[in-house]
Amino acid sequence: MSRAYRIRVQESLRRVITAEDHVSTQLELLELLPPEQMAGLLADELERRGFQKEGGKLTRKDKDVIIEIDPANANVTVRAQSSTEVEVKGERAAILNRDVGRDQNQKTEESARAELRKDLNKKVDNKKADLENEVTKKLQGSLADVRKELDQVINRVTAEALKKKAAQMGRITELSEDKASGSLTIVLEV
Amino acid sequence: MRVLQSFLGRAPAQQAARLVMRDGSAPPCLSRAAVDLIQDHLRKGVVHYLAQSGWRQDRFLRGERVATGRLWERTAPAELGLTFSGHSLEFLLWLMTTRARDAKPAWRAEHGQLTVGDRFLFFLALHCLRHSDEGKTLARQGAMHQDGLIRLAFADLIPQPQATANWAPWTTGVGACILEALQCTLTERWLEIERAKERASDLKALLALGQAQDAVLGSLFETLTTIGRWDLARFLLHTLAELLEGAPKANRWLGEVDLNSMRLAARTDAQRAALVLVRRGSTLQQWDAQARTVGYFDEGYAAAQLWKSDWEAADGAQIAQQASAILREIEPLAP
Repeated sequence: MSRAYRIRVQESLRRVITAEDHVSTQLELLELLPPEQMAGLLADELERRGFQKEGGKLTRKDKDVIIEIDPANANVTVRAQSSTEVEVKGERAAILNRDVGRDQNQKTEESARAELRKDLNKKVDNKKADLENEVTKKLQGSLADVRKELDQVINRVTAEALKKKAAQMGRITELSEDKASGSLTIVLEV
Repeated sequence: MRVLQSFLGRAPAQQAARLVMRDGSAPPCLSRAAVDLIQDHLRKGVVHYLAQSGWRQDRFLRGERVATGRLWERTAPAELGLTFSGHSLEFLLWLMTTRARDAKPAWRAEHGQLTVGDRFLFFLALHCLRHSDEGKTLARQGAMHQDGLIRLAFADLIPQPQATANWAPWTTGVGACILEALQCTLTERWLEIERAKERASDLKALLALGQAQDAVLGSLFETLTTIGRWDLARFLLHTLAELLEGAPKANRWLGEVDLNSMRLAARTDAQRAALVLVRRGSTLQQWDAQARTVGYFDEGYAAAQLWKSDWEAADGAQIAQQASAILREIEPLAP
């Protein structure tokens, strides 16, 4: 008669998981002025809207969403990221047998522990996938507002560039601007 | 001879696919009669092949003027002669004496030594074998990777964006004349590649194809702009016109690839890669805008007029509008 007995192995895993997602595009600015002047106007408008200079780029962080714009080439990257610490615990049963010897029982216990660790890693991976989905959803949710703001930025920069261009061409005698509709009328005396 | 006949379109392509890369043993040499026969086949067959497309009344640039007529009316027949070097013979021998599964050729052509005739023979071989495993083996050979025409016509077989495409043989002299004659073939090839995307299921392959297409179109556009030969890209206008007919949706280019499970960044990359031709179409529109600024006394007037006429004939404005609608679908930050 075999002398079998059941043991329970327990493990816990604590890990920091990070998820990131982003989209990039390029602002379509009309080449009304030389590129460096257009870049300057873009940078001014972005700073007015709360963007801060970091290296050559202007960035702004709204909660977990970061908007990064390079005025030199008008590249825009909208990035969402999130990280969290997760702890997963689990236990697994193993049947040992006094008759098979200590080494064999140790192997069985280690094998149960390895299986348990594999399960826990899988759980962490699932949590990471959930976090990635959450981040992607957060990014998608923010894009409508970002798009709207970028349109406004383009309109403002174009209007400022037009004013400068007009001033270079002659004397501005009349200038009317409707910020709501984005229309701009410039009357010039050349 | 039967293989060569298939390459030249005078026998079914399957015939060549059945015969090449089967036997590992090479004959010590070819008899004079055999070499004469190959020369005769090339001499008559290549002319026949090119005449099949070159007979059309067409308009292409010749220096600062537009030449109208058939290929041999636009350029004097004496200037249309092709030379085949010993590399052509070595290539044919290699095809017949290597095994597809070995694919370790003794044949290794140096790029500088290849004539336009040799290169055109490689093109014909790959065109004939493109649907077979032997074609895939052939496409792996280094001599194919730097050739502009081969990269352009077989981007689906040669995903090698790192190698620089050599356009010099195909944008000057007789090579440019061949490129003119191949406009319909290139349209058909690009339509074939683009329509195959409707059945795509392998994301990695789709990304690799997109990169290969992007690289070859980028280098083609750069070269054509430098030499002022926009007319040589006419096949892309025809491809886009046909492809965008009926205002298709962006997902048509993504086949069965599951985008929903992807991050937004990966999703956008995949969509951009799949739609690289549609995206690159904006260059053709830029050429039209540029052409409209060229005056009668400006340099490149003939090229500008010809491109404007090509653009209007293909209803370029409609193409641009449809392309823009499709790209708005895939760009998350598009207005």
